[in-house]
Amino acid sequence: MNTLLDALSQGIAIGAVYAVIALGLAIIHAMSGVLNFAHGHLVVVAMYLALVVKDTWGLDPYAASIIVIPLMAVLGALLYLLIFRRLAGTHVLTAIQATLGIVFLVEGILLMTQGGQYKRTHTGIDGTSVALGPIDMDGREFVALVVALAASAILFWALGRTGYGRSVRAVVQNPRGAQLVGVHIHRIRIITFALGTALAGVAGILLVPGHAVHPGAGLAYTVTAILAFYLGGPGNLLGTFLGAILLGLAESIGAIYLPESSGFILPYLVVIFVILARPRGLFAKAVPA
Amino acid sequence: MTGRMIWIVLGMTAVLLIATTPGWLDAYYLGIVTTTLFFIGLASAWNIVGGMAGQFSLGNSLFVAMGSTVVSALITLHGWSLWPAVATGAAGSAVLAVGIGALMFRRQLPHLSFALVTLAFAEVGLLVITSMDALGAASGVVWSEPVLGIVDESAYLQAALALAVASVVISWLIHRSRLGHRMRAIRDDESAAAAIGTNLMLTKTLALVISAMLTSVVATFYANYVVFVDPNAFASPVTSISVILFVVLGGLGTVKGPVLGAGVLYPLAEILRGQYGDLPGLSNVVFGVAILLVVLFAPTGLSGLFGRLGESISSTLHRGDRPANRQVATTVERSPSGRSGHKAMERSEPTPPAHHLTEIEKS
Repeated sequence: MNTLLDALSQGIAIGAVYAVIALGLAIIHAMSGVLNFAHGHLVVVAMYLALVVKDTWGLDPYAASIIVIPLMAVLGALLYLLIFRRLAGTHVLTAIQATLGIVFLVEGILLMTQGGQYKRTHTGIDGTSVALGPIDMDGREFVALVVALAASAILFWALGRTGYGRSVRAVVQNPRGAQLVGVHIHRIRIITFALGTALAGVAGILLVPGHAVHPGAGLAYTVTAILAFYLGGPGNLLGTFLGAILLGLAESIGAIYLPESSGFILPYLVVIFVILARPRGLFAKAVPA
Repeated sequence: MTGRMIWIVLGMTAVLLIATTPGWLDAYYLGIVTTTLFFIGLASAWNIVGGMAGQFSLGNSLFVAMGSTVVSALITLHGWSLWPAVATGAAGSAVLAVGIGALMFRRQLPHLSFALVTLAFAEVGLLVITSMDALGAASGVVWSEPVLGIVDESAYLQAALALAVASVVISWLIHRSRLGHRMRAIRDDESAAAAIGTNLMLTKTLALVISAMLTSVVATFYANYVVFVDPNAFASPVTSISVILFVVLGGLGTVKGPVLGAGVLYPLAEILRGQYGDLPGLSNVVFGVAILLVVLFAPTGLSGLFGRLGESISSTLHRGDRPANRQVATTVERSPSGRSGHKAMERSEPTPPAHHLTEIEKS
């Protein structure tokens, strides 16, 4: 019983972090129509930035977020202005090819500046644990869970309840109409790219304490985020969130209950099954004809 | 016709020139030439399904793994002889391809779903291989002896050259065959292709099976050349993605695209890596920038670029093969931005032309 509870709590904690990555990917996709295969590499960039900040000023990775997250937002705006703006309206596969180019670019820059070896870091809360009723959670996991849920909640609130969110929804539904009623769509897109990349930064900060970083680690995060995005049904942010939680649960349950490394296969089996059974995702909206 | 003749003459000259390289190149550059030839084979094989039929498979690593890890494990760990093992690898790839086709091509799934499910299959394949002791698990397989009695560099070069030429010739035969026309019809507009009587599922599955078997055979010899078959290199989707990018850079869906893409970019990256060994990421940076530049500014790839150059020299030269050599990006483009991603994903392409939206946005 306790094993099951541990599996569930770990699964939800890692799933919540995946959700932050996937939500960033999803809002960027909603804005530009481009599925960013370099999104996981942006997470890795944030992880390296946290390491650099720690080495330079001795800041705890969590404290480094004050510097890292704004930097990531600026990076997102730059990516939009330099690359994604020009991809608007191209074929969906052409745009993917461009983002695969970004993958190589980012990985190359990280290799040149940071080297190819795995790096780890420590935080002030290593080894602590938090008791939640019958569950004992690792302190870093608990922080990741709380922050990731909060970040997702803030995103949903911002999109659903603020003027910015209304503009975003207008641009997603009908860019031309949005422009006609006075939405500055260029600015909305820049802000949304900054926001999506900043979310990748949040995820990077949450992942850096427990995970070894490597320049090539990004693709795995991208794959997870895209799979979550697809599980939930493209265009449905709540679906993306739930898809990511489902993937996290599949990962932790597979790791605990299935023999050896075959447990890692469980999330992929879930995805393959879902895409075949419901090609438009679990929570897809009815498709207009 | 003249344009095609020029390419054939150029190609044959290149083949003859490469065949003589063991005579005048040192071992280091000979190795680069050999590996480039293997990559030309892999790129041409992927191009059959990804470029010509427009099914953007990210799961080619499955077939590379089948040809490399599985075949080398059969030979070195289980004592099979060469040809039965190669045939088993190719047959296994074909079975996998038929299975994927049967699952994925039953209905018209959005393009991205196909890319994603094949990527998920590829990840599963990597995990299965790294956890199976019978396939060498994570530590991989080391070939105990060279196959075919190949012992020296020049024999490997000839084997690689033969495979590359075979892949290109097979691509060319498919490109001009009835099957090739059906594949391009599906790539350009699935509904229209179905309406004129093309069997979508059969055609797509055939493209995938041919691509898979060719990939598997090339991968076997490449793996034997490399000797140490590391699953994280051979069975990883990343290797397949770089092959895909060679094709994209060269020109999707054309016969010469994969040859130009892999033939120019692999040696470039390798020489950069050799020259600037103390800056390990430099070749990746150059590769990434090249991809971005090509996608943003020359969407028909190197072959399109060369084609346009040729045209400007003599406009009569390329009249014969121009229309057939157009690629996806030029035929299906410019849908209304913003929502275009959803649209392009949820329906089969092509999306309708833009309503001058981009002009308005710029103002």
